[in-house]
Amino acid sequence: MSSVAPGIELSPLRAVSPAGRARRILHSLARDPTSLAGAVGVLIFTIVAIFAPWLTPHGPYTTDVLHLTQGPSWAHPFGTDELGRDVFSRVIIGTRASMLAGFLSTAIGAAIGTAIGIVSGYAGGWLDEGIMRILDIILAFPQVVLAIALAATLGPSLTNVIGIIAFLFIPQFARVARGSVLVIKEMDYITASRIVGVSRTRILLDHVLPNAFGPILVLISLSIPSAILTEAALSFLGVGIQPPAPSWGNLIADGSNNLLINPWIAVFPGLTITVAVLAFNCLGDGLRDIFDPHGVRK
Amino acid sequence: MGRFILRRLFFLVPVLIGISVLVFALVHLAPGDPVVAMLGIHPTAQEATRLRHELGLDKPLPEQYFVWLWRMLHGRLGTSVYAHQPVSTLILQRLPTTAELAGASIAIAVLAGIPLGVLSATKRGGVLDHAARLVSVLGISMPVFWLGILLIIAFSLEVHWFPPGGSVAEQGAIALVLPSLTLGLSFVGVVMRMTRASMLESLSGDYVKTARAKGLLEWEVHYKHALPNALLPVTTVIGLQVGTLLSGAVLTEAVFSLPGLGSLMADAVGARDYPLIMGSVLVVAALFVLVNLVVDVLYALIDPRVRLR
Repeated sequence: MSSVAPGIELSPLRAVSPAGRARRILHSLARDPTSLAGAVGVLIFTIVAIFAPWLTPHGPYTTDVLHLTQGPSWAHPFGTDELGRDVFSRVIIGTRASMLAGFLSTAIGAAIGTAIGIVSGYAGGWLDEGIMRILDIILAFPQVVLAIALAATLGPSLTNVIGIIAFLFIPQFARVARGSVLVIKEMDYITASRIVGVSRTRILLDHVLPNAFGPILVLISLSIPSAILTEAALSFLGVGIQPPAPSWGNLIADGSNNLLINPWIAVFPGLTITVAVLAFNCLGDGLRDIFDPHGVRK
Repeated sequence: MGRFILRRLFFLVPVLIGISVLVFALVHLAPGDPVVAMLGIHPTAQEATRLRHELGLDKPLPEQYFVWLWRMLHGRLGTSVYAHQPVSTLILQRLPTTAELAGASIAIAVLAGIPLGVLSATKRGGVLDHAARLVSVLGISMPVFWLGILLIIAFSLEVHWFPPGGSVAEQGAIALVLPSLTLGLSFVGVVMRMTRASMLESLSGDYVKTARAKGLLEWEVHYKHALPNALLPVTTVIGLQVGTLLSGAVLTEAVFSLPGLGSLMADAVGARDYPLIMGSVLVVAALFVLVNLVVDVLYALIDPRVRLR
């Protein structure tokens, strides 16, 4: 054990602990201004999503017939809609739905997809082929087209939207996980573990899964913005979150019906989506730079 | 080359079958009983049984699937509940508009994206590089339907240069300008990024050093040697983006009321017109699979190494 300063100890194994890895990732992210901006943006949107009901200056459902379809003002920074509701408050509440859709659908899709990919890749043979062909069928559809068909069939609601987007993500995560497994499976230390008698489950959990972590994390960071955009598209078309519950997508749809009277109603929710997705994309790019095996920094 | 195409066609069949199974499953999951829809809310038991037998709904599901598939393969995609026209007629009417929109959008994305990508790579780290990369990341971050609305506000409502919507038949080619700009701009970022990355890799190759050592001018090195090699991955990326393009077309057509396949689907969804939804989803998915096949074949033609896999 050695000390660099009182209270700080350095252990040679420290870098491989999950906390150590997390610290290294954060340190690398902090060095790149774009990634840092992205991380801060993601943090802000997450906080807004969690505390949304306490952050709205007006009630998101409160109508004000004296101030219909008004432009931006001090009282209403994003203006009001055709029922006199404060668009800024509705955008804040909509943050919850959109962020929930983004995070939850990605988490579910990643969990199921990674599990399928790892099992498929490790098993190999006919099981692997069969699973990959079934996943190819899902990938054979343009994403929004399949999402629309599923949403129309299952009915419009936040739960269904989350489920549908998660379903669409499963093949991508399965493929990435399977790719990592195929690489690791052939390595000597895995063969050695098998010979020594380590159980398959142990090998999968202790060796395969941690090594697939990097590419999966990158895919997660790219999938969340994709999920947010897909939810917005579904809500815009009327098969996602239904009004009066606000979602960024259905707010833009409302706004598009009032373009001649007050174009601002459509502008601000879209701007919010763009900034949120931009933040996630910048963070995702930063993570990709860290986990990129060629170590190329932009 | 022939063997490569045959192999790809062979794998196409199970995928198309799989798509049809998925769409058939969706048709059956869709809410609403077609018998109720035809006879009213309280049909008598006899009427209901008779109609179910006539429609083949009392047969086992696998048999219903094959009957349905047989009809699909003969172009009998059902009848739209709201338009009271055959689904296949509606789709064929709308397909040209979507094809025009897709073609114009790809043209815009490629004509703007490739030169920007090349400039970005050759003047790496400069102002142009940073500006181009900003435009590219904005393009993939903006919802395509919101970009369409912004363009309508700017170029249709503020200055009346372009119509805010409508068909090519009514307004002429000008009706396609804003929609293809919308879809093209959302796509240009991807093309630009890929061209830039690919060009950077190309420029770091040994043959480029040789070309420079031979005394070739810089523009010759960039455009006669590095760029042709850089274009191969870009072609793949464009092919991979066809799905995103089709998805974007649905949304763009909805915003601009362009009478294409995408807005047909969006309207069908709004009206819960299930025969039309499923028919158009099946056609779009099948087209998507076929387009991917064509892209793969083209790529194999350009890069012979692909054929050996």
